[in-house]
Amino acid sequence: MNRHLGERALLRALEGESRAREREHLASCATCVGRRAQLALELRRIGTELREGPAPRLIERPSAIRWMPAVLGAGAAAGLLVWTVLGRAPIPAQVADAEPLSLDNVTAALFATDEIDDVAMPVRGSEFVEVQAALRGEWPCASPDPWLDRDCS
Amino acid sequence: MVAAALTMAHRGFVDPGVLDYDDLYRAHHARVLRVCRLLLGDPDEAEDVGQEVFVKLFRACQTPRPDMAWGPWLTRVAAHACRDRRRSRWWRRWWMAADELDEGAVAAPGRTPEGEVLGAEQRRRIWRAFDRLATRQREVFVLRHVEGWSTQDVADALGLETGSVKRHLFRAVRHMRAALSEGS
Repeated sequence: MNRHLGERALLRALEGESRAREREHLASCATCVGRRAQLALELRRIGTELREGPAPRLIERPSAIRWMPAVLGAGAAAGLLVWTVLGRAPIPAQVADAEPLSLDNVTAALFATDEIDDVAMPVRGSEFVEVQAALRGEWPCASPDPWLDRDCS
Repeated sequence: MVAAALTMAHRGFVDPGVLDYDDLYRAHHARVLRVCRLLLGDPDEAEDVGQEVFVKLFRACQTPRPDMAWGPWLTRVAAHACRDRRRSRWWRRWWMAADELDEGAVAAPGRTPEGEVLGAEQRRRIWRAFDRLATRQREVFVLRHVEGWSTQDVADALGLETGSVKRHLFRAVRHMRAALSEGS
């Protein structure tokens, strides 16, 4: 078997830490020897550049990947705030100051009959008798049909 | 033996007879600044951290340490100071992205024949790829392939296992080579 050495094995060889099998392979494989030499050359060049080359100044800018979600989040929060504050209908002052209504107030208002006489009710003449009787809790007895007035007292 | 000692001294592992702060400053300032510049990617921050490192050196020099290898000590202190600085400026690094190089600086010619071999485009690729290395990969790569330390020395300086150093180094090398071979 003559599989060439991987990059990790080549680096080990460069560090002088090859395993026995890798050393045997290197002894017989010109390709891997060449690859090891190439790796050594590249590392030397990189090291030389980092050690001696003019270190460039990196131009830093706010990363769009980082600030875009922040900006979108801030925009959404501001929109929500505006919607909450401005989107609500204004409450009239007298309503806002009034005491809160309870169910008892509502029921009493709906079914109160004390002031019924003061209320101008647009009732047709033909229905007047029935309406007056209904408000008194009675049954009208003025119907022309006696069969319909059985409950009349 | 003498040649080996001189090589070690050149790399900063031994400072024969150098215990004076001024001498140490002259011998190592540029190198330490370069390491800081590589680890931080920002010349202004590198200058700040470099000053911190040499303040620590000044304090350390108050105590006589005849056998101290000041070169590795300085590099180790610089690496840790750079790491602290990066941690304290995480917000800026998170917010900002260094996506462009100062073209003028990259296009400048190399100072060594080996540097001359690299074209401007390759230089740009190297620096861009280096800038994208993870912090640990960057530290390991700088100490191993720029400073020329052994894997064991790198592990000792950074407080890592040698296996961990090798893993970081392999990833860094693969990343750098991939960047260098792009388009070729």
